[in-house]
Amino acid sequence: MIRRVLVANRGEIAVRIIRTCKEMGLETVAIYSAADRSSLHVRYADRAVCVGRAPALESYLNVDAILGAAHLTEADAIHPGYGFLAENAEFAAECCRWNLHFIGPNPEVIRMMGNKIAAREIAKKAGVPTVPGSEASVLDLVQAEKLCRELGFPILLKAASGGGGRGIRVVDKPDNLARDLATCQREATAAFGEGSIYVEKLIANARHVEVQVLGDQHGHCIHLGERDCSVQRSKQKLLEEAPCVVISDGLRQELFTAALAITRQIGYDNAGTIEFLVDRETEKFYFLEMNTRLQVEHPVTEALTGIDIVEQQIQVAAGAVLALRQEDIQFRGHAIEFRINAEDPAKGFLPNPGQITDAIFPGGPGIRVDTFCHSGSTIPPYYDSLLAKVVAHADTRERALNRLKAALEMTDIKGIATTIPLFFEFLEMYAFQSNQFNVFWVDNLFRGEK
Amino acid sequence: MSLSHKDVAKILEIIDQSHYTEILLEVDDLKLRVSRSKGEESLLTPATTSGIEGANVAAQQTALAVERRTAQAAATATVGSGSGESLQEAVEIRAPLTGRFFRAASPGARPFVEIGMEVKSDDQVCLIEAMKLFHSVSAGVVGTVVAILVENAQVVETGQVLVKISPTTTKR
Repeated sequence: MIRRVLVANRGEIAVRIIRTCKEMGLETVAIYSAADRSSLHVRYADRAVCVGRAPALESYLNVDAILGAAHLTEADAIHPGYGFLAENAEFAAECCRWNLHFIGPNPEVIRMMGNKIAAREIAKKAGVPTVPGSEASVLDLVQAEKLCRELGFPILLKAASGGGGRGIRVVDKPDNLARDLATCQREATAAFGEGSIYVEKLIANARHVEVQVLGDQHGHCIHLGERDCSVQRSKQKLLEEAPCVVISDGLRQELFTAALAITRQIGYDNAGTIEFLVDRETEKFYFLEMNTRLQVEHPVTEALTGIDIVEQQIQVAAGAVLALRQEDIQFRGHAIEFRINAEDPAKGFLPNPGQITDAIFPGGPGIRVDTFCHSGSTIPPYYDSLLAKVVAHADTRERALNRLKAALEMTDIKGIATTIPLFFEFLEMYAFQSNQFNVFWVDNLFRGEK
Repeated sequence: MSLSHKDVAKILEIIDQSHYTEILLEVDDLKLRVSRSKGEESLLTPATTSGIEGANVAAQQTALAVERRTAQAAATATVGSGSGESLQEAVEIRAPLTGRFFRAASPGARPFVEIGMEVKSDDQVCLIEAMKLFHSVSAGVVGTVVAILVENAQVVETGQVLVKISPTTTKR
C-alpha cells in the first residue's frame, strides 16, 4: 500500500506524476533545487523540500538529500520520473533498503539493461535480433578496424553505458576511425564514468519504433502498442506518434512478440520501453536498447489506450497484480506529440533559458498539454530544455495533424525562443505529411546550415 | 578610481624588477592583474576580497623581461574604458547564451586559457553549459588573454563579457 509519494524530479514530468497521485488520493511530496523554488510542481504538491543548490549534482542527483527528504516527510514511495536518477540502479536499491517503494522496476533489471552490451546479449538470448556489430566492447583500434571492415562503413560507435541518444558517434570512413574511437572513449569516460565502446552497423533508411511494456512482480506482462519516434535531431526525439503507420501489421505483431520476450526474459516488473530500429529497405527489425523508466512520450500511448501509465506504475510498484490483460487493451485513433523546447531553431537550436513573459497554451477536445510553464515562470539554465508537450489525438493521422496545427496556432510563448516554428515548418513539408522520412531526415535538413 | 597610462607604466616597472610572476591589485572596484607567466597555470585565484593581494614567489628570475608585452596588455584590459587609449584595445569575448561558465573541460583539468596566454582564433577559451549541453566558445581573434572576468561554474547571461583578449597586431 502506498500513501505518500515523493516525486524525485522537476518540470513537466513532476507535475504530470503529481496529477495522477492526486487522482488516486495519494499525498505528494515535491523536491526542488534553489533554482526551482517557485516552480509549478512545488506549488502543486502537498509538501515540498529543498534538496540543494541549483546544479543537478547538488540537488536532483543528490541521493542522500532525496532519501533524507523522504524520511523527513514520511513518504513511503519515490517516483523518479525520467532522467536524473530514474535509471540509477544504486538509487533504486537504496530506496528498497530504506523500505521505500521505488516506482520503477527492480534494481537488478535497471543494472542489466543499463549496460548496452549486456542488454544486447539479453535480447539475443530472448531470440530477438540486434543490429549487426560487436559482441562485446572493442578493446583496441586493431579490433575495431577488423570489425568495421566486416560490417562496412558507415558504422556507429556507442558507449556501453550511454543511452537516450547520448554517447553515440557516426564514423563515415576508415580514415576517421582512430580519431573517432579515441574521442568516443574519452567522452564516454567523462560522461558515464567508464569508457567501454561497442560498434554497430549504421542502418541508413531506418525508423525508430518502440514498444511500451508493462509488467508486475508476479510474472505478468503486456504491451501497450508501439510509438514511432523517427523524427530526431542529433539522436534527440523532437516528436512522437502512434501507431507507426508505415509498417505492416505483421511486422507490428513481430515487434510486440519480441518486446514481450525480452520483458519476460528479465522478469521486468514496471513500465518500460523497448526500442527497435526498423530497416525500411528490408523490413527487418533490430533491438536497440531498453529504457527502464517512464518515457517522455508516454502520453501518446495513453491517448490511444486510455490507460494512465503512471497509475499502473504505482499499483504494480505497491505489489499489486497487473489489473490489465492483453485482450483488454484497445488502440483507438492516432496521436502525435510535439516537444516544445527552450531552444532557438533559427540559431542552431541554441538553448534559451530565461523568463517566460507570457504563455498561452491550447485546449479543446483531443488536445493534451503537459507543462510546468506559465506566464512569469523562469526557465533555469541548469536542466533540460523541455518546456511543454502538446499532444493531439484524432481518428486518423491527417486529422491529428490538423488538430495539432490548430493547437500550435493557439499557443503563444513570449520571452524565450522555442521550437514551435520548427513544427510549423514540418507541417508544411511533404516528407512529413506523407510520412516518408527516416531517423536522419532532420539532421540532413539542417546539414549545411551551420 | 582611475588609472592613467603613467600608473600602468610604473606598475610594470615595479613588476619587472620584482621576482613575482604574477601580481593582482584590487582597489575599490578596480582590479589589476599582471602576469609574466605564459601558459602556466595560475597559482592565484581571482581575488574576492578588497585590498592588495600578494603573489606567489616563483624562482623564475631568469625569465624576467620576457613577457613585457603580455603584462602591458593585461594592464590595459583591466584598467577599463577611458584610459590607456594609446594601447591596443582589448577584444571582449561575450557569452553567446545564458548558462554556466566553465574554464576547463572537466573538474581538475587544465583551464583552456590563463591570463597572459597567447591564443589563436579557433582556440577554445571556455565552455558554457546550458540545459545539459556544452557550448564551446572560441577566441575568434589572435592575441593574448588579458582578463578572465567570470569565476568558474558561475552562471553568465547572454552578452556578458567573459574574457578579454588583446589582439596581436600583425607587422606590416
